[in-house]
Amino acid sequence: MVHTKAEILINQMIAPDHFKMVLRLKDFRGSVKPGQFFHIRAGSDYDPLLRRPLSIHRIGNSTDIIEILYKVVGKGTQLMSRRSKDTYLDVIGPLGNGFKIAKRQRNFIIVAGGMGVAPLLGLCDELAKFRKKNIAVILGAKTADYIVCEKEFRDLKATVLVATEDGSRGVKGLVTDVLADTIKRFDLRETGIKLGAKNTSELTIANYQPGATLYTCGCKAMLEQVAKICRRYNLEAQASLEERMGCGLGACMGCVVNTVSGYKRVCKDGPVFELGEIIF
Amino acid sequence: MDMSVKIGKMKLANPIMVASGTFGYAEEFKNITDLKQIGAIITKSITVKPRQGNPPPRLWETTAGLLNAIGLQNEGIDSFIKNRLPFLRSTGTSVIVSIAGETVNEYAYLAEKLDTPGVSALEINISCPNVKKDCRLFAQDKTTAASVVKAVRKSTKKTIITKLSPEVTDVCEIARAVEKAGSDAISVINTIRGIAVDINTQKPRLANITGGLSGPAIKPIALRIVWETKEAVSIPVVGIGGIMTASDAIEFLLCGSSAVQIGTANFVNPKVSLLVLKGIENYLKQKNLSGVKDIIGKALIKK
Ligand SMILES: Cc1cc2nc3c(=O)[nH]c(=O)nc-3n(C[C@H](O)[C@H](O)[C@H](O)COP(=O)(O)OP(=O)(O)OC[C@H]3O[C@@H](n4cnc5c(N)ncnc54)[C@H](O)[C@@H]3O)c2cc1C
Ligand SMILES: Cc1cc2nc3c(=O)[nH]c(=O)nc-3n(C[C@H](O)[C@H](O)[C@H](O)COP(=O)(O)O)c2cc1C
Ligand code: FES
Repeated sequence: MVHTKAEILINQMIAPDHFKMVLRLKDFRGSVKPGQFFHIRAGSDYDPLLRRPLSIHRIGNSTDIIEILYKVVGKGTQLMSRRSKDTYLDVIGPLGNGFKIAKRQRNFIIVAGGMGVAPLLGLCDELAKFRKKNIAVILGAKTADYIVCEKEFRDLKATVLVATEDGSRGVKGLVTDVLADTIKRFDLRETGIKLGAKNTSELTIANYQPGATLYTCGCKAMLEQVAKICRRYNLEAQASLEERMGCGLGACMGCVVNTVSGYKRVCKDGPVFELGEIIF
Repeated sequence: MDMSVKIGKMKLANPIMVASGTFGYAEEFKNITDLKQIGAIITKSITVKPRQGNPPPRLWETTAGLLNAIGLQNEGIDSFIKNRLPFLRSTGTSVIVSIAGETVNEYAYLAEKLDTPGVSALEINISCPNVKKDCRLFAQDKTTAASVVKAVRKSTKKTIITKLSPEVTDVCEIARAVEKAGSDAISVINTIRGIAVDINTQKPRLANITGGLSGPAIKPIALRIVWETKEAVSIPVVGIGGIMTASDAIEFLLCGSSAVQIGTANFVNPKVSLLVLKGIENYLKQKNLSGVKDIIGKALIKK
């Protein structure tokens, strides 16, 4: 982890209010993991005062290059969106634990709600390196305009399913509707994830074997539903969580979430947690 | 440049301290800043038993400020001594342990437990606004404030700094009471309670409803309280509240602080203490002064 300057190589709008930023970290020789984040100073005066936590979206060819995907939601992200190429940001990172990659697993389900897609593409880059694998990605957003990274996931040979709340693209509904339906259709016992299996009647919940690891990120309400589904189908799941942060370094106890073993810090013990551990 | 200051029996290499609750147990910052250059490190407030703290959300950012309602989450004195103190000792700077009790006896107990090498001083936190909801703070009554200080004084020979709350009618009478009870110094201010509301959900932003306000927003209030306190007592005053830059710190020194604490600014820039220190040195050079003592209390108008 370093506190350094990062040169903005690209800062580009990729969808309404959605920006992709590519940064080159000065004097960085460490390693970065999908699921970790950077704590970024968006402005330079006292409003906004604090840093903004933003996930690593993708890791570049050399480890000092990182991509960030962010949505403009307030003053800090607004300021970031106006920053021009070749200027510098003050960043601290990489912070937090990152996703655990289950080495023996070959079946993966990625569930991304809205901006929750940000840390999951970099994760998929890692998963795609496995030789025999099945990756299903479920992307959800309000409307078609906000479905991002679909092509990138497909380029990684993942099967992508899309859900929009208004039905403007893919299934009309929430990612969780698609997830429940998808799991029922997956034959995870032999060949891994088979999407759209014609004969679903064969596969009942009773003969379903746990055989996939699920990774997810999104709003709390969505994560709570995903957690329920994972419990029902006995799926192993990891989620990247968000909480308001002060220090980002594990010192202030400001960013805790409630878990079965008490309050845990998103910035240090997370942001990635076993989904089953979280008390909603 | 002579940057050293004396607080009670404690001689500090420079007047820059990091404030309780904003620097954890220092280990969290070890890879990012040079700990031994900081005048003194003050730990998160430690309680007798582990405390789980308040439910989240615990933080809300305001204009040039931060509301926090951590609720003194900490691992308790035994774990602190076993797991945190060894690292703090190894930093090579003065270590001040902040203590918070629920009763007078608890404060005395904590002070006794901390009568151990590697602890330079105790800061008595009788002013945390995030724990007792309906009852008054120890720091809001001169008799209870004095009784805590007296009990701690009996239990330790170490330097005692008593941290007071700005939420009082007359800080001077509290300050005089803790001075008389044996405190070696007074630190002001702890945070000021505030509220923020989400207009969409029409609910408070913090689960605890109120949170303590810190950051640049509170600096003028803190300076006023430092000034009033310094006029009321003859022991050293340590100024806290909204220090982000060297010039902020210099204002506190001019208003009579013998040392300053930096809190929220550590979140913005973990190296801020070192920058503030450098900046004060440059200021003193520019003014052709030989040390920091030359400016302490300079703005106070002698009556
Ligand atoms: C570990 C982590 C990773 C994140 N990764 C991404 C990402 O990759 N892309 C992305 O678009 N967003 C991400 N977020 C959310 C992002 O931090 C907020 O959208 C951002 O801080 C908003 O700042 P603002 O000034 O624009 O908004 P404002 O609403 O004005 O911010 C006010 C305050 O609330 C905090 N805040 C607001 N929303 C959130 C939130 N959802 N989570 C935590 N703090 C918040 C801000 O940091 C700030 O202190 C992540 C959050 C966390 C905790
Ligand atoms: C997140 C947070 C936690 C704090 N915890 C403590 C604490 O445990 N004990 C204490 O005496 N003060 C605590 N404080 C108060 C600070 O030590 C300091 O008095 C206050 O923040 C004002 O200084 P600042 O404006 O420089 O932050 C805390 C402040 C913050 C922001
Ligand atoms: S933000 Fe300070 S502990 Fe996580």
